[in-house]
This record gives sequence, C-alpha cells and structure tokens, in this order.
Amino acid sequence: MDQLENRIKELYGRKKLSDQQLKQLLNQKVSSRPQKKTLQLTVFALAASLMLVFGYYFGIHPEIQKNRIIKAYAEEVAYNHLKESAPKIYTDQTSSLNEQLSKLNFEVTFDERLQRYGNLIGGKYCHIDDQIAAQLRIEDKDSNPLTCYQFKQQYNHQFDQSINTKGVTVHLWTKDEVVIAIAETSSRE
Amino acid sequence: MNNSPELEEILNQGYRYAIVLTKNKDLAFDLVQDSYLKTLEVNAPLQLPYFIKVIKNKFLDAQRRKQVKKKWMEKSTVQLSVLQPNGVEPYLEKVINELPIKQREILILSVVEGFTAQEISDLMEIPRGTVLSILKRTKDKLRTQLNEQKT
Repeated sequence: MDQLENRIKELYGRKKLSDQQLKQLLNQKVSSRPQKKTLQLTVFALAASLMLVFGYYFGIHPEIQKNRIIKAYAEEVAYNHLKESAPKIYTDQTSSLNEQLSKLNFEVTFDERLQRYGNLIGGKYCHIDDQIAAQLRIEDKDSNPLTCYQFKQQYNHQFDQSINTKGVTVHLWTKDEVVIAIAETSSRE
Repeated sequence: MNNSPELEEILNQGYRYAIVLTKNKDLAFDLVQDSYLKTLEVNAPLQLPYFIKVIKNKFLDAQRRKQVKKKWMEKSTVQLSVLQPNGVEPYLEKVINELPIKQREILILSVVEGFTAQEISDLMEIPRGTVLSILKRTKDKLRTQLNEQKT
C-alpha cells in the first residue's frame, strides 16, 4: 500500500458515527418493524372493511338484491309490453289457457285482483328472466290493452309494488311461487 | 442478525460511503438512517454490499427529487466550511471531494473499505476493467495534485 492510499485510509478511517448516532440507529431496529407492520395491518384492515361495506350494500344485502331482481323483472315486462305482440290463443277462460299452455310449470290465474284491471282476451307463451312464462292480454273497460305476465320465480321473494320504466307502469306482486306482473302504458294514468 | 460490533462496523462503513456521496456529515447520517430503516424490512443479517446498494439508491432517489436536490446543494456548500477546518488532511479531502462522484466511490470502496475490483464491478454494475482504469486515473490525478500543492 503506497503513501497516498495510507493517507486516504487514515483520513476516511477517522470518519465514524458518534456513539449518539449509533445508539439512534440501533434503536431504530426495535421501533421500526412494529410500526411498519402496524401500518400494513391498518391499511389491510381498512381495505377489508371497505370491501365488506361495498360488498354488503352493492351485492350481498338481501333487500338490495331483491330490489335489483324486481327492477329487472319490471324492465323485461315493460320491454315485452311495448312490443304489443298479439295473443296466439283467444279465450276468456283460464281453464282453456292452462290446457293449451301445457308447458308451463304453474297454473295461470285470473283472480279477483286481475279481474279489476279488465277482461281476459287471450294469451301465449313468452319468456321472463329466462323462464317460460304466460303472457295474457287484458282489455280494460275503455278497450285499452294491458299485458299480464305470469311466471314461476327462481327466488323465494315476496313483494307487491309498482315500478315506472320505459314509459310503462308495471305492477308486480307474488302469489305463492308465481310472479304476476301487469303492464300498462303510463300515459293512461 | 449481526452481533453488535459487526453491525456497528457495517454502519460505519455505510456512513463513510454516504460521506463520499454527500460530502456532508449530517446528510450522510440522514442517508444512513433512511437506508438502515430500509434494510430492516428484509428479515436477514445486514451485509455491507447490500447496505452500500441501498445507500446509493436512496441517494439517487433524493437527487431525483428537485426539492431535495436543491436542499442538498445548499447544504453541500456549507460542508466545505464545516468539514475542512476540522479535517486531518484538509487539502486531501478537498481534492477528493472535487473528484467526480464515480471516481470518489471507487476510490473509497477500494482503498478504505477494501473491496476488490470485481466486487466494485458487481456493486456498481460496470465492467471490472473500467473499475481498474478509473481507480488508476483517480490515484494518478490525486498524486499530481498533491505534488503540485507541495511545490
């Protein structure tokens, strides 16, 4: 080792951390890890809580899920109603309808509540919520057409409500496992 | 984990390297402190080459931030008046501090910390031949300047 190297080594060899600085650094070892872990755990806990809240209110909460399903029924019913497709079977008797719509997995009904809307004109098959359904044509006392849909629901929800969508008022209710929906154009109201 | 004397020696070596980079004792300590905190995230005994790399990266990060760089520049002008009067060899230190940063790093890692050319090459990710030629050029330059100062 030459003289220059010795001088450099001596010069820099003297540069050392003070006892105070060393103590400060070595103490960091004890305090820094828990702080970091605590921070990570806090962030994780916050993220998990947020996910739970969002999940609960936007997907898991039963009432929200139910309302979403009812809204989907109403939209499909309104869409079908606006197509104004004519009935394939013309009859005012539910027994006749049930006989001819034999693929249905439930009995078509035209009970007192439905009778208040008007008279049964006829019906045909259709699909709601990927389920085979009955589409009944009804005429009110002023000969305005109303459409009634009946289908067996995949869920066990009970409801009775009205929804306005796409300019159509849809009244939906459940009777046992069957959903009954009446669609009428909103301008009539 | 290193036992205390070994760890203290590595911290001192890191501190010397930080002085080479920053040319300022206070900034060097801050740099060592930040870097040591970073190394604690890895659950393994502290090794000098790794510590040196962390210090270098922290130093470069700080330089990239304009604000910090400006602060560093301000402080580094102070260090000449602070360090020089207390230095054992003020002129030698001044000459070394005026070298480009890469030359300073290679010089100190080789001469003071005893790293081989290959170790410096791995650490700084430059060819071994380049390390050797920079080291030779740096020493020659220092010798010339020190001789000039004598005459």
